[in-house]
Amino acid sequence: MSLVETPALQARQLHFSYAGRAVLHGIDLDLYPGEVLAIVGESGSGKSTLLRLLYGALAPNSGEIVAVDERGLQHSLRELSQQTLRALQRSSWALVTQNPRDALRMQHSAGANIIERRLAQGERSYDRLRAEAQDWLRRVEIDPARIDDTPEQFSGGMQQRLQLARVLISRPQILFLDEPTSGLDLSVQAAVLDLIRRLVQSSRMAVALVTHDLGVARLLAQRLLILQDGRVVESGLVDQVLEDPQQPYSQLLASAVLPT
Amino acid sequence: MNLLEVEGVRKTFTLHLRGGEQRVALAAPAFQLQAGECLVLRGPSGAGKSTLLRCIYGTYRADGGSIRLRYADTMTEIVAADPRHILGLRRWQMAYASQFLRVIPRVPSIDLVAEAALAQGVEASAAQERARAILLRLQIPISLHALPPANFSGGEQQRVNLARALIGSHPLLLLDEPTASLDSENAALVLAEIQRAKLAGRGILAILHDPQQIARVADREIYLSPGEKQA
Repeated sequence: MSLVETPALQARQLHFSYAGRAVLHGIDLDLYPGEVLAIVGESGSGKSTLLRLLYGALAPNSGEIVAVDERGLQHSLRELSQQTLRALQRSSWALVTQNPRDALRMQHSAGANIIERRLAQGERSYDRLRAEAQDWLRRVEIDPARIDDTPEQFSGGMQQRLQLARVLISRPQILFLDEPTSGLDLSVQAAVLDLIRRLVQSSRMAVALVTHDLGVARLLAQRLLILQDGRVVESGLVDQVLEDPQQPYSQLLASAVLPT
Repeated sequence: MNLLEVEGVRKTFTLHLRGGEQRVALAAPAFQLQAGECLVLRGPSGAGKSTLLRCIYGTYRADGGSIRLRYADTMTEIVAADPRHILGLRRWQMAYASQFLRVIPRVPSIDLVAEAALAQGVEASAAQERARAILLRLQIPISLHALPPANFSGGEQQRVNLARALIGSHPLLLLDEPTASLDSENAALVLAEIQRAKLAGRGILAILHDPQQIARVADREIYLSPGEKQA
């Protein structure tokens, strides 16, 4: 029972500029298996950009991101070929964004959406694929009878849960979440958060969660990192940063949290 | 070997939103806690009793001093420790029950309670069984186990919270007024759980006020005085 393990992802001194404007300055972070790390900040703080750098969708101007696979081997994202990176993103990793319509194939059935990664992993048995799709619909609390409906026929909250099922079926090692519950009704938000929480607890998945909602961060995350103007102003245990924030900006944010 | 050693711990809050005003919250006397022992923190409101528990649990960052907790036959430092290190200590070595339950939407009481046992690798059905037994000992009827505790009474929520802290095998229990909103019958159940934990060799640091309750479970008392903070 070692207290501290090997991280699944490490970022060192990330810098990123866009159109001549510095968006991120010198970001360091580690993400560990079995934990949720929340990245919070206001609009324009650079939090979504940071998530895209970590996921490899954008490349930093300088700095390094190292992924550690299940066998403990280190891979610098910079040195991976596009093909290898895409393969990693499609099986070992998963990105879930605020708008499920960007990720789902809206004209294909819910079932077809869910099994895509399993097909890519080489599963060919129609019966097994259909059974897995039904199982995942059940897990995300969508009636399995709706397997042949298209996402167009689903509510926003159902589409978001379908997006989760679609990537989680490949049992990703790292889940990247960008405002996964923004824009959902509170009751639907609770269902999606509950689902994510249970999946993290029952697997050793590492989760990087970008949110502007400190309540969501508090509920899901063990550690928290606060970004302001592209810099980390404070990081630590989620309860520590929210109950004993050290920096002026963190105190301002923490003081604005509504009581639960 | 001691279970817990506390020395020279101070906590000051700097209120940046109020022009950097400093508020001294705690200046704790030195003490040690042994396995199987219950140490009760006393002192008036504002003396820093809850603050001390939170400094030990890592929710507050102490300004200085030393808090050492036994882990794998060594004393490991908590003040200024890496957050991952504190998470590891929370998983295996220390459990904390605040006065108020933090309710998670939709999660049944029994699952909330089972959480710490699952984190320690107890198999799911065994963890559920353990959670059920503790809740029943604390007289939370079985009809409530499947419900989220959001609309439980204050006393029921407090007992669910205590059950969450008791279920694991953490050698150190930090209990912040575990009997505060309970009637005497339920308070007696909680005191019985403290006794049970002591017999199991766990060390308990608790905030209690009632002299009769203290007499039933405390091996020693520590008095925190608000005056010492100015020293």
